[in-house]
Amino acid sequence: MPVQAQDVLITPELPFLEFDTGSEFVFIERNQDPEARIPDFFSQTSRQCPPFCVQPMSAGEGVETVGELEVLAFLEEHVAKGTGVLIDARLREWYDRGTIPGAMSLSFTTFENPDSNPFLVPVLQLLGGEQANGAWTFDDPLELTMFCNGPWCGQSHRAIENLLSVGYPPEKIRYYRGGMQGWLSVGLTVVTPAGS
Amino acid sequence: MRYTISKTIAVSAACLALQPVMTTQPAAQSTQIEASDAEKRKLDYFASKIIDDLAVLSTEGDTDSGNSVVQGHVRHFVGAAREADLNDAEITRYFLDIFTTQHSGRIPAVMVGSNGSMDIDNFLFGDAAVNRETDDAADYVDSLRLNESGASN
Repeated sequence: MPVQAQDVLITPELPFLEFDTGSEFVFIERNQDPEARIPDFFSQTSRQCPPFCVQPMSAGEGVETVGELEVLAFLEEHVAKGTGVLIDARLREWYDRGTIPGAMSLSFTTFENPDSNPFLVPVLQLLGGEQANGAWTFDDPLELTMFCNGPWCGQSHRAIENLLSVGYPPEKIRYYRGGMQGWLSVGLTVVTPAGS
Repeated sequence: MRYTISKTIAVSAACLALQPVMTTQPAAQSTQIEASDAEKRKLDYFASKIIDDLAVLSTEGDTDSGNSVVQGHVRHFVGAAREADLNDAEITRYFLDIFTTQHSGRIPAVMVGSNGSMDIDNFLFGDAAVNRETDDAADYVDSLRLNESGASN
């Protein structure tokens, strides 16, 4: 079909992904420029550790670690239908510089000190939690996929640990360990959120 | 649900044909294009991508890779417009409306025809898709020939 012809497909069956959330059109493809290279920031290999330490593959028992294709499937199956949220767990300033289309900014700092953090209450309610007598229950929580800058970034890992500590069901959480590094390394679309 | 969206066309293709650099905007005229909210979001998305691509070509110069990228977005834009049941004239007007209000500076070579004037029809509907299909077909035929040649050896 010449109208949609592309050279750089995501997979042979998936040249690109598009969906409409009802308020936003989201389009994701791989960069079609054969000269494109990963941005300089993400070509850096050596950052001081801590804090930029290599992360384990698992973010917690029962939490699924996913790759780019699973993130795309998640966007189509859950974000497009309002049953899930793709969370960019980096600080807002990072999100503003460029993020995965369809992602919501919820910085890892939002999830810190869950027992005494009043700012976390509305966030957990937004995600489907109910609080009674100081304890959280999650009967029908949103599906989550969380990411940060990549395998050397512990921010989403830390956010997931805090979510698990308040009882968020692990089977409802996915960890995209590749993060922005992985996303950009295969040339997938990045957006600068409106108003940033 | 479909409804009518008013579109203002700032300049006609005929005016642009004699103007390789956009400096002023001729008097506006109006037309109406029917599209749903979702269809309009999709059209606007790809139109803005094209504008971004053209801005890069306009400032950094024309490159094959840059042309390839903008042609890809043009194909998506035209595909989205046809899905929204816009005819070629409506597609052209829709794009020109955005182009004339959002693009400034040199008009990249990818939009200029062989006579040196802007060729919006060719840019939107012309050789990008057609040549691509021809090239793909030629590549496929070549690959068959190579395979046959290999088999016969």
